[in-house]
Amino acid sequence: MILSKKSGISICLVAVILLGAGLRLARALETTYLQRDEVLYLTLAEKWEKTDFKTACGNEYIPPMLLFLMKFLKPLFGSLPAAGRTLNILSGVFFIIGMFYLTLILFGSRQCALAAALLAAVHPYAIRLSASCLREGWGLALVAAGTAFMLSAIQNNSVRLWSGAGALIGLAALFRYESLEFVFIVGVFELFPALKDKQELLPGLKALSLFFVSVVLMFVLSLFIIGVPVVYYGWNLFRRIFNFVLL
Amino acid sequence: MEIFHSFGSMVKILFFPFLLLVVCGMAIFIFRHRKLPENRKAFFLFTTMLVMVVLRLALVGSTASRYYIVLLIPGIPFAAYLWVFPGKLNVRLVNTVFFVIVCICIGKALKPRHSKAYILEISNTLNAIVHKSGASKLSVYDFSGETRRLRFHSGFAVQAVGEICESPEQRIRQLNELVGSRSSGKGAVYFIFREKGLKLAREIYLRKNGKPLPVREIFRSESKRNDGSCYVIVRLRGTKAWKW
Repeated sequence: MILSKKSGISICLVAVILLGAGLRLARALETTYLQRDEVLYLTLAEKWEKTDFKTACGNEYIPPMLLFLMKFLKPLFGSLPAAGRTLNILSGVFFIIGMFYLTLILFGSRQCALAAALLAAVHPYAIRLSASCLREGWGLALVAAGTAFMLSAIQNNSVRLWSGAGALIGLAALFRYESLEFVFIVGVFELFPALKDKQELLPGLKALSLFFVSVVLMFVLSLFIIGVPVVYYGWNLFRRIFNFVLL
Repeated sequence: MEIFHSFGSMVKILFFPFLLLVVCGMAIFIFRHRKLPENRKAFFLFTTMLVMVVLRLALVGSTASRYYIVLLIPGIPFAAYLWVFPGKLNVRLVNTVFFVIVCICIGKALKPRHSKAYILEISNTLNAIVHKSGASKLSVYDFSGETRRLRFHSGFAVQAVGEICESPEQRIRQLNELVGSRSSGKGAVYFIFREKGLKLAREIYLRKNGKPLPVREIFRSESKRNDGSCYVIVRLRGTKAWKW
């Protein structure tokens, strides 16, 4: 039976995902020592497991999602490092899929998207981060998926996709704060054309406000669900950003 | 100079052979699309992201190169573009280069540098000491700056001491104060140093007018750091505060 081109590419994509997951797993099994920041995150997750968020991470400005997920999944995987590494291997798989769709939207070619997925699967530093307990793995995967949603929202002129992009960027900010820069980027992108053509202003504002509300909602809801005191955390984060901008 | 450091980190994290694909892919893309493609709005957003992220990374900078990993998101599509749309380039040559670079990437991913093996070596040595001697009390002072990792891997309450004093006299005073301030006077004391050039362990041994002091180098790491330094554990025996 001759396979159609589309299903052939789907089969190849599954093979690429398996290759990426296998490489990440092999790397995780090969790596025996932990990096400095990994030890910090594991120590904080351990403290949070025994006490509460304020006591464990009150003086740290580390986005809490990875710490929470490690502590939450520890009973399933037996130890915090095992939980952290498994989570990040999954983030690697998510990243491969995200890059496939992002390239597909950008160039409109399935072959090109497959090549991008292959490169995402074998890139040594992407593998290295996916085989660790660091926050970059999920941060990268969610930003890739969020970007794919944004591009798709623009192409299809879809409000729902803008909300989806905002939700993914809001979630990414709980792994890496830098993801919040996308709010600024989208703001510039949507409002800049309005300087030339005022008719662009209303749709631009609509997309931007939907995106922004989704980011905030996802951020706050996630904090609430994982048991982080939202006001306390929000105030700490605000101080951190304020200090960063001032200094 | 910050900007050069930032660009160095970008090249490092993108991985040089892969970066070649990205640059060639971008060049071919620009050459083919002197006019913007149909989905120009999406490309405008993508380019805005690329420019802003690169600017932020270049200007603000960062200590760790892994923070630059976000550049993979714009990099990968352009590298893939080169393979699928090689333009006027020889298709067989592009395929070969692509295949070779994928193989290099896999090789690099599966062969990590074990430049930090000393962390495990030290932790294993401390555990072996406890296992062998059956000692229950152990004081470990770390001058190497790796306290957190040593604590995690060894399971001992390794105490951070900061940097070792440079002058020999100050160093003796520093060690004496440390040992004298121990809450419990019992149990062996271990110091962990990072030696580079100076043979600290040997110097401590030879101090006090040539009179041998009861210290012993019990471990020297086989693996070295990138700067050539290695790790040493020195043991002080006895149960009392030391009179130097």
